[in-house]
Amino acid sequence: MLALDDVSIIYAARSGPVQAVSGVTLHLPVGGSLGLVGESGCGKSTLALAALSLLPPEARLSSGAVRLEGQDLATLPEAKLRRLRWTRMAYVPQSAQNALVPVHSLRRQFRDTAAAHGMRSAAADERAAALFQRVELDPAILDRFPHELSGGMRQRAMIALALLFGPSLLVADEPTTGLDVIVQRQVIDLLRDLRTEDGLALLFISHDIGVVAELCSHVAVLYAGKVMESGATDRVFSLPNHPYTMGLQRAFPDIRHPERSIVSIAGHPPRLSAPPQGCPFAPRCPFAQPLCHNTVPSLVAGPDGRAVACHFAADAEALRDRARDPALWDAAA
Amino acid sequence: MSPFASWSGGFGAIFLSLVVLIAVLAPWLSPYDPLVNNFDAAGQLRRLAPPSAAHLLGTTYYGLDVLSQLIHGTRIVLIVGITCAVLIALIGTNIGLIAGYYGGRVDTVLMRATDLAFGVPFIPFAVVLVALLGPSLWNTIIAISFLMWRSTARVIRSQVLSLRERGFVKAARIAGASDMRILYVHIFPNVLPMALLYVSFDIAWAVLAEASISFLGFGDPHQTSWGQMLYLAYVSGSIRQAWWWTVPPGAALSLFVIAVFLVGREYERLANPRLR
Amino acid sequence: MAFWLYAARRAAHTAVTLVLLLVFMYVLFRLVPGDPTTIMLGTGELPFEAQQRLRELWGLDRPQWQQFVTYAGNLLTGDLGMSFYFRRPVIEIVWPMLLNTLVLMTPVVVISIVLGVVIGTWLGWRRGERIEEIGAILALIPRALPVFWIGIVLLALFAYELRWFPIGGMRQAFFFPETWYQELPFFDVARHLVLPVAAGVLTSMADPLMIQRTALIEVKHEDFMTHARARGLTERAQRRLARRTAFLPVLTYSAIMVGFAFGGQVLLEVVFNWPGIGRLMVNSVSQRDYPVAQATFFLMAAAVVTLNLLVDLAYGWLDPRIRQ
Ligand SMILES: Nc1ncnc2c1ncn2[C@@H]1O[C@H](COP(=O)(O)OP(=O)(O)OP(=O)(O)O)[C@@H](O)[C@H]1O
Ligand code: SF4
Ligand SMILES: [Mg+2]
Repeated sequence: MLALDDVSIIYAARSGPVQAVSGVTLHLPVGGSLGLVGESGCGKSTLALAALSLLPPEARLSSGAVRLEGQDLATLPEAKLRRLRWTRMAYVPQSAQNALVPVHSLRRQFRDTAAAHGMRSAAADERAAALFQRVELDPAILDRFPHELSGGMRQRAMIALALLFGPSLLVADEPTTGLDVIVQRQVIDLLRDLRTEDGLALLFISHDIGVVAELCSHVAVLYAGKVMESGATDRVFSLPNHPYTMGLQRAFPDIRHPERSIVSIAGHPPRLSAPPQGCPFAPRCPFAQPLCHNTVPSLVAGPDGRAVACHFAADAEALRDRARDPALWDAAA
Repeated sequence: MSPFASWSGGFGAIFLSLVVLIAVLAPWLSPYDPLVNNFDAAGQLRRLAPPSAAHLLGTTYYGLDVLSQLIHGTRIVLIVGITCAVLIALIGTNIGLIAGYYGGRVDTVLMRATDLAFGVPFIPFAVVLVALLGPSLWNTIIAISFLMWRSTARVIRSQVLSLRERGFVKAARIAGASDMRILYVHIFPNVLPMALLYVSFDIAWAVLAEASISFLGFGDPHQTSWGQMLYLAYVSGSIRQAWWWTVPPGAALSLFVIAVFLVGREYERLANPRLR
Repeated sequence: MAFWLYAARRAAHTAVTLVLLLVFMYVLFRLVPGDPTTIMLGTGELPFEAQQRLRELWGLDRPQWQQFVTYAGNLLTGDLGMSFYFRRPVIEIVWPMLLNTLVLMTPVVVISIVLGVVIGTWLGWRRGERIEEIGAILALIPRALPVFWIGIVLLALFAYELRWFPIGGMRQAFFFPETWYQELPFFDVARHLVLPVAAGVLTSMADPLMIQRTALIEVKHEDFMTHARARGLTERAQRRLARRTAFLPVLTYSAIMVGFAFGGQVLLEVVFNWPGIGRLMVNSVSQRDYPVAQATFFLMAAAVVTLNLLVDLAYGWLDPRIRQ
């Protein structure tokens, strides 16, 4: 369905180039689900935009290719790309708050989208009403303006809008962030239903590994624009092989181990305008050795379909044991 | 940035320097006295003579040398532009500083006054005031400055409102600095770049306003300004044939204002690099 | 509901501003040395007793504040006093001129805003391209041109030299239509309008253009524009969306612009001999016909203030976020 092949993206910022994504390879099969997790600023949204070929003018795909159903998006003419958008691939952006047009009613936004792909207003209205029922919104809300809705309503309206043409790929960028727990639950349930009932392929972005564990069969852990670890979700989170995944796991409550205390990883991700020489995680890694600071570990595929970018992946078993001690993470920084 | 954009500021600066130079050297540069009628050998008034070697830009209906009038006009432009800009900056910046800093009743009163000033149509007001006070260069300057402080006051006030809450102002207040000191030593230097930007644009607007007032016939009869040249060309019914009388002052006015805009734009870009 | 409350508050605000303007203007016109009797009749031309009688008749012997209240009261009933020069009620003179002014000013303002928004959108959309940088500098030029000079140049070229358009005024005294289109009811006025409207639009288009351009550049970076692109909207539809959202600051500005437009209007009316209140004001000031000058001036100020109110209300309707 969707394949990212060795993708690197550079932003031309005023202060200089920012290497937001470096050499990321991802694969999302038809009807599959892939989660992207990582801390704020690690390049998740940038990857999402690249997947939809929506990067802003200041961003440049410096290497690699994005393929949708085998077609390299970069080589497609803009007119073809435009017709692919929303009919084949839809998008739920990070901030439903600002992503809806503030001066138009929701109905108008459904109609405009429909019109862009040759669907008539009457048909769009009918479809919108049905989709609103699907996402459990009152179709009367269609005539409201975005600012008149609550956060949860906006998010569901956004998802309904994404389903207008029954796309086969949905990219959802932190659709649950900023919502209260009950609404979060509703949105997650909705997405899961869509996945199982409609066979939608889902690229799901979150910094919350719990949510990803629930929704996605596969996951890629991003750090500083690089994939640290990837594989089947249950395997990655039950037996993390990368120190960063171990730390991330300790940073969220785990329903299976409620007795564990929550420890955040001390320190900050590196500035992407001046990336560190060796392993990007080395400055915060409790297991870092001199080797880590000089040499970049490459992403090595393991036998069980997993891949890890750590010099000491072979010792993962021992590292996991040591990582259980909360004090370790405080001491690192 | 394209070379066109980066040269524009330089062009503006060169043009303005040229105007200043001409204004200073006006008595030596101008071939004739701009207010003395010229006669030909036969003693006839040289009415509407087209450009020639003797009169490079021809003569007016009243037999005056257009080039000399154009050269002397630079003085009015500079006097009006600079005086008005200084007056406007003084009034506007102070009103903005005081309204923004003290807030409350003071702010309400001053901002209502500003709203009121925005409700007065500018050119009609200036015309009425000059007519009532009697046409003279100083009355024109007063009439222009009387209303034009309004935009400066608004902008400076909103800047002060945000500066007031910043750390260094709070620190100065805790250290026991007086209001005057905080306003003029701590806040003023921070609004200065914006105030200067407005000064540059005010020069342009003031010059255009003076030209308009003169064109309507309320200019100082004892001075030659570009607006007045156009007024006399218009009322003497000479615009149909005497292009040499109408084109130079209008073009000079436009170029001057454009030059001020370009310099202001360049200054804005240098003072606030985020703009580009 | 909240909207009406907002509207009522804005209206009250406007009413206070109008009263203050009236006081301000009243004081302004009392700055003139002498009183209307001397202005009107010239000193010494009338016997002293006759002057006294006139003073009593016009209420000039009463205290200033009483005179002001009388003036304001009369104004409310549409009585603007008598013209010294025309010796007729001011309202009779001003009213038709006001209509003439609107005939010229409306197309100037509307066309300026429409053209400014269209060109500003176009420039902002091409932000960063070479054509946009050059366009942004070229757009400064019309803003710098004195409107009366443009008027003179247009007159010299198209009225005197080419004779395509009349040299001024609003109608031709004895206009005999020769072809069918010349018989259209407004043909004569329309051909008189072409040059002044062109001069007005050329000079007042620059501001809405620059504001629209800046607002558009900002809107382009909003999340909803990326989303619109993701939804597969055509470039034209995206641009329409950006233009619609970026238009709000232009709307705010248009009130201020109308204020400036009156300044430009006075100059346009003088250059093109247009029988409107701008030219009437200039003439009455020169002829010291103060009741007329006062009335025209107040009408212009009132128009500016009222338009400010209307624009605020329109903003409330156009931006649903403000409606609350
Ligand atoms: N327009 C831009 N210009 C320059 N740098 C940018 C731009 N957009 C993003 N970046 C930088 O690229 C990096 C990745 O940003 P991105 O938005 O993809 O992160 P993210 O993982 O989605 O973070 P968050 O969880 O906060 O949404 C960040 O370091 C950010 O500062
Ligand atoms: S390579 Fe070294 S620094 Fe990087 S994660 Fe592995 S152990 Fe830590
Ligand atoms: Mg993001």
